[in-house]
Amino acid sequence: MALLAPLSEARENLRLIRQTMERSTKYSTLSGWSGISVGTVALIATWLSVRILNSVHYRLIAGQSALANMTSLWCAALVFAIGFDFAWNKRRAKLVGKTLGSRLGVHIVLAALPGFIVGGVLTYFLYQHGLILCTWAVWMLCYGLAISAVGLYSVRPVSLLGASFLIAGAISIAMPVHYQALMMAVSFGGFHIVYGLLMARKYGW
Amino acid sequence: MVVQFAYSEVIESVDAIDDIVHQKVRLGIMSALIACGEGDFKFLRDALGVTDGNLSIHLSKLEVAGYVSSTKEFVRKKPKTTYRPTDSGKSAFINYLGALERIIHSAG
Repeated sequence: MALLAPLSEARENLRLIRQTMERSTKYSTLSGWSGISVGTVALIATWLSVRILNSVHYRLIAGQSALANMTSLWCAALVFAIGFDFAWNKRRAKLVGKTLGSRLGVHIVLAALPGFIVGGVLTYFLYQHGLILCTWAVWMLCYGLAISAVGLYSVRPVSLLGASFLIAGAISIAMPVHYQALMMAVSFGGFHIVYGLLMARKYGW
Repeated sequence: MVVQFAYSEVIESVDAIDDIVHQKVRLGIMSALIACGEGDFKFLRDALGVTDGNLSIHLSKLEVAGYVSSTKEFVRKKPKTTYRPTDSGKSAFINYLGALERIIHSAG
């Protein structure tokens, strides 16, 4: 009987430690504004891409210069998206008393990295083999993979965002090429904006 | 014999428990700081759901024991204190976890 008091206290304290650690690490440093900004950048980039593709269709510009324009456009979109994401999340981390360079931040970057690397390698491969129009679906799949991995260290809306991209990518890859731009607007634009609003509503801006 | 052996193991493990870490709020502070690497006063208060006064008292005790270090700075003219677990704080926490595990294994 004398053993029961320290035993139950030990169990209770282990539960407290586990609960506190989980709550602390899952406490989100991800900002709602980040999702909305990234979504807006994606919508603008998709709209400009459609204009470039239409220019090729009406023979206003040559295919080669269209490819160069598209590459520059999406590189710029990536830089803007990463910039906005970093700035808003840094602000959010400061608000909740964390830093992006914390152990959790490092885990998140490491979790996302494989998805981004595979996305980059596959984009290069598709470009080399003249399959550049398939890249958007591949981006959705690889981005979904990266975000799903981040979701393991973060809150539920992040996992939902990752799963949505995986589903969108799987649907998109089977769709005709002229629907790809619509899927880009829905996924990189729409999903991010919905995610941003969800995060803001649940955890604050 | 088995019961006697387990009993002495538990007594030894209970004796090895660090009183500084054993208190609930201080245990919560150490768990949160070790999980995140660092955190400021507001983060700890929200993560643990305690009052400012209560948190302040327990942070001071951990600082006096050398288990937590703090850095003070001004962000937009407001003071901000960031807390980090020290090396001795980390080993005290690991030893405490070891003691809890020994109690559970010995008695279980």
